[in-house]
Amino acid sequence: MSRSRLPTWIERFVSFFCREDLVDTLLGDLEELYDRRIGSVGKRKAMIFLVMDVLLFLRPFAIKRIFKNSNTTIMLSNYVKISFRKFRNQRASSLTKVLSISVGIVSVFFIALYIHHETSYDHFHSKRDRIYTLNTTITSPTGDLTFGLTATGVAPHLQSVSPEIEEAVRLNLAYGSHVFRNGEKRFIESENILFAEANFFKVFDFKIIDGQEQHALDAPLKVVLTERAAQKYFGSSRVSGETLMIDDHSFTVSAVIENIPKNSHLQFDFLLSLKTFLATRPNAPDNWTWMPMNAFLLVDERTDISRLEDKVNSIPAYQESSSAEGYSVSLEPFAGLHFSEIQRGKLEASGNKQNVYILAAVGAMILLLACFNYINLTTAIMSLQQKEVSIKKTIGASRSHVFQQFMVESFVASGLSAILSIGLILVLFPYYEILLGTTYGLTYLVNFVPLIILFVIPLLLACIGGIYPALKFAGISVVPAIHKKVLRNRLWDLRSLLLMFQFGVTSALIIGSIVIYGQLKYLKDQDLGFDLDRKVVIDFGPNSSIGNQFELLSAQFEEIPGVEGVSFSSHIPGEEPNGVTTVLRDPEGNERNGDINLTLVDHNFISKYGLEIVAGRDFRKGETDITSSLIVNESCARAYGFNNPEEIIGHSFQQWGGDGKVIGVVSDFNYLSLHEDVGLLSLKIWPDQFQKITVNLASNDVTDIITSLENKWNDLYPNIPFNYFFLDNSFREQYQADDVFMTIINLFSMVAIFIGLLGLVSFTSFWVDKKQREISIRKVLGARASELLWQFYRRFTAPVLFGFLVATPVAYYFGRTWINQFAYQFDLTVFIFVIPLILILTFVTVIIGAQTFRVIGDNPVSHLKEE
Amino acid sequence: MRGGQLGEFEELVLLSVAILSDDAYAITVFDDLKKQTGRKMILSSVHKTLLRLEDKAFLKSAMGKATASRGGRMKRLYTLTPAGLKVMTETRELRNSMWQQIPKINLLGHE
Repeated sequence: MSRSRLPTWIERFVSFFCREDLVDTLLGDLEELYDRRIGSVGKRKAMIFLVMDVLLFLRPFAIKRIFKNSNTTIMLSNYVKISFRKFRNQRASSLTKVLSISVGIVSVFFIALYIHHETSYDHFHSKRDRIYTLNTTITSPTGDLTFGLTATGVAPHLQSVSPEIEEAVRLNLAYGSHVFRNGEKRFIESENILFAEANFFKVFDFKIIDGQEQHALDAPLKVVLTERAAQKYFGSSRVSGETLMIDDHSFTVSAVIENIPKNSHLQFDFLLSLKTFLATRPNAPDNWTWMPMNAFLLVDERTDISRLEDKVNSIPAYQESSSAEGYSVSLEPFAGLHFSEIQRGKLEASGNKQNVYILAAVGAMILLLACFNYINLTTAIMSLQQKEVSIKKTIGASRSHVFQQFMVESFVASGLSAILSIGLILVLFPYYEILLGTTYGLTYLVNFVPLIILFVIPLLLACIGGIYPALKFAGISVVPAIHKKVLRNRLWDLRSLLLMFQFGVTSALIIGSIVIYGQLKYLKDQDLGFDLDRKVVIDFGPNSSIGNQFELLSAQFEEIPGVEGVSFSSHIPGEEPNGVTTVLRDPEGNERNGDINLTLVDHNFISKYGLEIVAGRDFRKGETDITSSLIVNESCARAYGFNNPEEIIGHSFQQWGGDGKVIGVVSDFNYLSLHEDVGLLSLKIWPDQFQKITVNLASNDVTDIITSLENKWNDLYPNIPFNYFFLDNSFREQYQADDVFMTIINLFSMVAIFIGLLGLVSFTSFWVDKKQREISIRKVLGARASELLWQFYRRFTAPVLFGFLVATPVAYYFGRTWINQFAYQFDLTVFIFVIPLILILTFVTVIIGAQTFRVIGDNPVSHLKEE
Repeated sequence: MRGGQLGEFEELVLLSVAILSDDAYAITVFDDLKKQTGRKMILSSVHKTLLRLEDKAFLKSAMGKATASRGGRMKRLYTLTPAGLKVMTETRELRNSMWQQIPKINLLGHE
């Protein structure tokens, strides 16, 4: 044996990847060629050719068959082949199985996404576990009131007495609307403007993409923009140093931050330096009864929270107060703020933890439904497969083979479901984002932990669903199975139980949907106590010159045909009005200090909104009523101790913006959403503060009227944008979160129904097929079609009905609990339960009927001939 | 290419093996085809086709002599089987028959 002249690396390479039986011959051939080529074209070229040839051998036929030849692999591919064949033969039930599971997985996935979204609020702030917010509680004889605001001096005071507090940040949401302008770009912004203290970025993590964090908010007239705001006004994000006009003041853009994701409690487009706010209110730090600040504390890691709480609870200014009301301040951790029970005064509406739980439950139920379908169908097919199994065993298949066969089938079905699920998710994800208002994009999904669900569930299902049949078959003895087995006809076997459960769940979901729908519709249909329709609102922002001309303007607008009335106010229904502390003497003569709402209105407001004066009088034109006359609503009067509204007339009051006397009581109306009871409202005339004009329209034919209004406006105020919207739309926006929730629940209920019905269809179809012979025999023996129908009907409807009956009380209980969160409650009548029942029964009847008819009409002979 | 039909390359390889009689292995077939057709040959294609033809039972193989130029490795020699011969002749006959059916007029200049 002479030594090979091929380079060693080539030998090793080829031996590695090439088939064992080819390696040697191949190497020999290569060497022969190489040898020859050395002679003809020289060593160099020969080498090149050699390498080329080797590379060209990397073809499928030459590669090592690592897997192909083992016994296991061959068996596996056999099982898989058989699985696919069975699929094709059992197309209906197989499709149902795969579809059910996919739908189940996709539903659970989206629910998991939602839950993850809700529970991940503010996770991007690295210091969130050390951040706390301050709440103030006012205890008064009218009741305790807790809200997320504190007086200006609270946070700085706490920082001075507690070394554990690293940073104290105060935020203030700018109320009302404001005019922003950069050159020609002029818009009105409201509710997205925050005043923030200079150390804002030391506490919260917002990524700065232009400008410096250091001095961003340390002086008055500085503003930080989000990308979105920068684009809107400047067309670019690199705008630090630029000037932005806000309400005709010059602000310098000190920084631009990344757009804020949806899951952040702090939402804003503009961050103004708090110094700007404080500069116009020099007395604020000494005012302990005016609470404008959302305060946040960043505490040291090793802080003893209870000790800090003690300090927070005992603020000297409040300790020493001699008034009848008590003020106290408390801590609330920032991390759980999204689900806070305390909504008032908070910067963003809380999420609803209950809803999250409900959705989780719904998700679990849907998954269960899908599983039940799967198990139901698999066990149903079992009887068909007995023959096959027995034959296999006769030929010599071992028990473990049979077992493996069925397990593989299970996994194949699950695998297909998984693939289908992935496809569905990719397609549906954009719609989900639209629904929730998030803008994460598909990349979000990749990092998403619950993605594991997509793999775990099919696997689990494959195991669970497959084990029962697999075991059963493996254990079947050969002989009896080849003859036809008598089918058990008990009413209460496993499958009936599953059906019962399935329809129980479905019923519960339908009932739940109806309850939720009913409640929300009830809220929206409620008589709010004022006229919501046919009103256009013009928002001109804080502009006292326009405000003071309200009488002139009203006259001008009233001239336009189609306008039935005009009124001015600082806020409109749907917006939270100002919160002011108001002192009034109660019937016993004690001074009561309450925190109530104040809306500044003109003398037309009450009549134009269709409100009723129940005591005293409405505002009158002229100077007398301006800022010194107060009208309160019934609830407010009651809160101050006046059960008879007449009694409060003439009492004097002290309030921000002017003291004076109470001149009237207006009927309660829901100026905010019906989630809560009517608040305590006071009304006063103060034209300086007007920001909105409400125009009552005669009809719904609005376009002309609006054009006229716009033209008039532009004539009078060419520099102020004509910003209008419809009151009913803006009011209903308060229910947006609920609408989203309802849509989601409805969607999933339909999914559950779909899965349930799908299962029922396949199952009955299969069952009826199996019973063909029996039906035929009975027909021959003289049974009437109606008897046969009844028999089948009974068999299936019984479990369904029982499921429904069991579900009803459970659904009722949960429905009631959910409704209790609302101040205004929808009546849970029997009606609610009747509708699902009828619905389900109809479906079931139709399905069973359809299947049975299919077979009953047939000529019995054709089925019996099979033998 | 099911059982009874030959691909163009397969046919060429079979012919080459038949021509080379006792000395038909990958390299010789490779050289022969290169010479006969004038095409650029890829060695692995030849190997692949030889294996394929053997799988179809048109060829059978045996291990042959080891030589120094192969580094002491044996070569795999291929010979035609009766089935292989049969399929070759059938193909040829089919071609011939179809050629004969061509009307003389179309063959102007080629006869």
